[in-house]
Amino acid sequence: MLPQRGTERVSYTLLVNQQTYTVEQVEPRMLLADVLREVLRLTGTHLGCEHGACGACTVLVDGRPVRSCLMLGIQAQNQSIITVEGLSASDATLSTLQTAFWDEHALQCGFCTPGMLIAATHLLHENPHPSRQQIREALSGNLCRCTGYQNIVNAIERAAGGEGTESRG
Amino acid sequence: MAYDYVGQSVRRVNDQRLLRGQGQYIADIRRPGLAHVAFVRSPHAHARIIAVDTAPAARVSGVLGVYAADGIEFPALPLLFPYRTLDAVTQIPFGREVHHVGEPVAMVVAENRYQAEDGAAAVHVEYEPLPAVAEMKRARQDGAPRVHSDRSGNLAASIMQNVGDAAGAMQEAPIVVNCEIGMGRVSCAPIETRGLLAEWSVRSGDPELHVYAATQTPHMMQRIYAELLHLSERQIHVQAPDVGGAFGAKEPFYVEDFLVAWVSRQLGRPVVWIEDRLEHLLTSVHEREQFHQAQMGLTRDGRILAVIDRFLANTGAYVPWGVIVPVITSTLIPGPYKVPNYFCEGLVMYTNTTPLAPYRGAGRPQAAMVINRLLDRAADRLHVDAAAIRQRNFIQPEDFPYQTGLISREGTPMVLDSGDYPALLKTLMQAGGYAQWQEKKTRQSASDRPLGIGLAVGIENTGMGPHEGATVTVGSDGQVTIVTGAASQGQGHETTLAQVAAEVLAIDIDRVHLVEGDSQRIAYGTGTFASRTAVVAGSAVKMASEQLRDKMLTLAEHLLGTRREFLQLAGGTVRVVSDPTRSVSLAQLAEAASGPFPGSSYTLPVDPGLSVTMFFTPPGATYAAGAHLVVVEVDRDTGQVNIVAYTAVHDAGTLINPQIVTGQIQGGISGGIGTALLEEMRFDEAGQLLTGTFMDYLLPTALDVPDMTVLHRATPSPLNPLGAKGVGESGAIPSPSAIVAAVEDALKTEHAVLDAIPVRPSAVRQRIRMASEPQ
Repeated sequence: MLPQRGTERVSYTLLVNQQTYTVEQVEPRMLLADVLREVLRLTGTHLGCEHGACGACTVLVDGRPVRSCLMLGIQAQNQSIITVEGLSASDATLSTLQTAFWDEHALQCGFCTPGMLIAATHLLHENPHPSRQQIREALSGNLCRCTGYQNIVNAIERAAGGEGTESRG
Repeated sequence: MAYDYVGQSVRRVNDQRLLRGQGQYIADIRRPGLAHVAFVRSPHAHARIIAVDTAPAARVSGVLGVYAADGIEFPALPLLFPYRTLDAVTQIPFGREVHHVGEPVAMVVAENRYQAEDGAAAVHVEYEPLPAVAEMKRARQDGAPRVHSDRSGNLAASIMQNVGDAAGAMQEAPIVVNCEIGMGRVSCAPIETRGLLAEWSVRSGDPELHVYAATQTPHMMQRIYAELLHLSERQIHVQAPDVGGAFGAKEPFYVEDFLVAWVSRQLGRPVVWIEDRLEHLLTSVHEREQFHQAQMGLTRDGRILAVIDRFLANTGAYVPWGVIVPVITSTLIPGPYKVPNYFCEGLVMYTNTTPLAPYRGAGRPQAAMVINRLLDRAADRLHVDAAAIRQRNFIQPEDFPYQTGLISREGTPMVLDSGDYPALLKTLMQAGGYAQWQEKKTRQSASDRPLGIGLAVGIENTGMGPHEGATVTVGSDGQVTIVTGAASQGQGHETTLAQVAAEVLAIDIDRVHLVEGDSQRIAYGTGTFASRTAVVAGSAVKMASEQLRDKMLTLAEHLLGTRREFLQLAGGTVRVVSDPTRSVSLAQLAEAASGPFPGSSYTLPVDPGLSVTMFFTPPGATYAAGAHLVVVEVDRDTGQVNIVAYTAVHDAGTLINPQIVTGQIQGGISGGIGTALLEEMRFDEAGQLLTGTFMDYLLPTALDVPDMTVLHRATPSPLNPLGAKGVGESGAIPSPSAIVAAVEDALKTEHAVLDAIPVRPSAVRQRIRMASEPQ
């Protein structure tokens, strides 16, 4: 007979933002997003839909963007995870991409922003000089209800060394 | 001047922590011993609850308590917006009868969210299903099922507006055009759902409730808790942390807000509930759903003689924000145009569906749709240009203040304060390349991807009362703190309100800090909704800052022994102009105003404390306006609509921060694109929601929203000290109408008439097929 739901516990280690964390005595069904948020208290990764459609919870797993609401924490063992907290080198500085988001007013409520930053980080790694259309395609899995996306596209273009403010109204 | 902050696109002061993932949203807050809530929700649109078996849930691992609609009686939620003809039904927490799918019937509290959901799945509820009605046209028919068993019918309210003699004028009008349009129901859908954390403590023998809530209205929540829990406001502390968007969804007081606070007291532990996305789509308020049949009479040269509109509006099962939405629609159909004779009758129907209440735009997009589509029909009939017929009918700049003859939502005569609609549209035509697009459209008309051009002009009543207050204080470190009753959900108040204070006080903006969304920091507050904070809180900040400056100068005169005309306030210091070595800093002024050592006498010429509180009570709404031009390309084979150009010219009065204002308009237009082309909450006949995920309910993505050109053409409002007009909702208002007009224009050879939004590819294909079939 299977143990009663909610009673089984597992422990494992995760490599997040170049730091090794021990995740102790959690339920095996715990989602990666919940492990990051509840156990490691890295609350920059946000949950907007919990069904893989809004992109707010996107993190990098071995360099690839992953919905952390669709992956179990235990599945992420032995892989390198990057969250929004790992994007800038220190507490004193913002990354080029983060600064571009600030300059271009690419965030309003800020809730979708961590997922946007992660998606953009991946895009710029794969394609350092994307066109506006390529940026839009790369963001099409991340929903934003505040900005209308234009300033986010501007910011990514600026971070890639492009014009950035060209289309600002 | 170095401190001319108002009008500058200052980078937002709040962004760095949000960009690092250091925001503190409701789901990020943790308290010792925190327990988690999951709700059991009705699968029926209308049913009586016979019995609830909580015992199996109570045995689930980690479950701390199970509470059900069985044996508990709570009062109904208070009615927030009474209206003369409204027969109000508000929701009862854990009522015996459920009136839409998703109403909570039980709640489980557990050590964590997973276990709470396990518990919720184990609760067994026995229902007696009752006949349900989901569709508003059906709800109006004789013999329709009754939404509420104890009511004789389904009519929530009737709304009427009457100016002049519309029926008579229509009869005599040489040109009469008609327009029928249904507007689909949408969800506010902020990316952060609702959420609430409640914790009780005891102070001087009295219970105290501390609530963190993702809310637009913390003071209103405080007041409603006081009423429902029979406590005094001093015992209730409501605090909004960072809020991840709202758009109306976080404006009403919901049954969950009550139940989570209540259960925390029962359990004696802090408790948190975070709405999931299905719950949001099922229970957070919806909007827009209306069906209009409208008629316009004109002269042969295209002057409006009369407009008659009859509409149905759906309010769902309850009226969480009264019937404000259809009331606003009824007052704003004439919009920026002179309509000498106007009649409007709206019937607001209860249905067994999710309640409707304001979503960004709040009834105004529907109004803009009706009047602008009527004008498009009239332009077609008269073979005149869409812009020309609008120019012919605008209220002129010299007509302000313009008496509309209507009664506003506040119950007072509706007067438009300022505007220049002819210039707005003229600027739009030039900036949007109207003539060039017309030529391009003609060249492309025979292709498989014809172009279409649409335009619309809309107005918005903004900056409404009753009030907002601001306390501006200089601390002992010389830094300035602003406290207001507003609450930001991404609008950037931390920056814009700081700009207002920093300019008045001639201080570096980095030294000005905003505290808001906290019921314990200022006694009264109204909240952030209805495009009101820049106008109402902004004006209060300006007034309080000006009084504070006066107080500083009075104190500096005393301390420096020099009259104020010889003093200069700048950079956090008051100096003697002729001798800058004689100066006093804001920190020193604050120190002095706090009084000398305890026990001494206070002898200064100002009241103690370098702090001033002022409330701004707007005398009436100020009217923002927007003109939008859209060019679409329609794929005849797939029905796909692609927006190829979007230009908006907006009048938001005096701009505090142009970059932020532009961002608000871009976001509003993005919402308007969703309303026009993508978003619709659908129910089946039995009231089951068919669009419970973001796979079924389509929000606009980065591929759906184009680059937009947003320009500003300001006429400052005479109704507030800033000259500002509200802007949060503006972009959403003319956009659906302009987009539908553009799609219809692209299908001109098919003579397609689009009578419903959203216009999805299937609808476009259907119109094309209908046109090609032999009649």
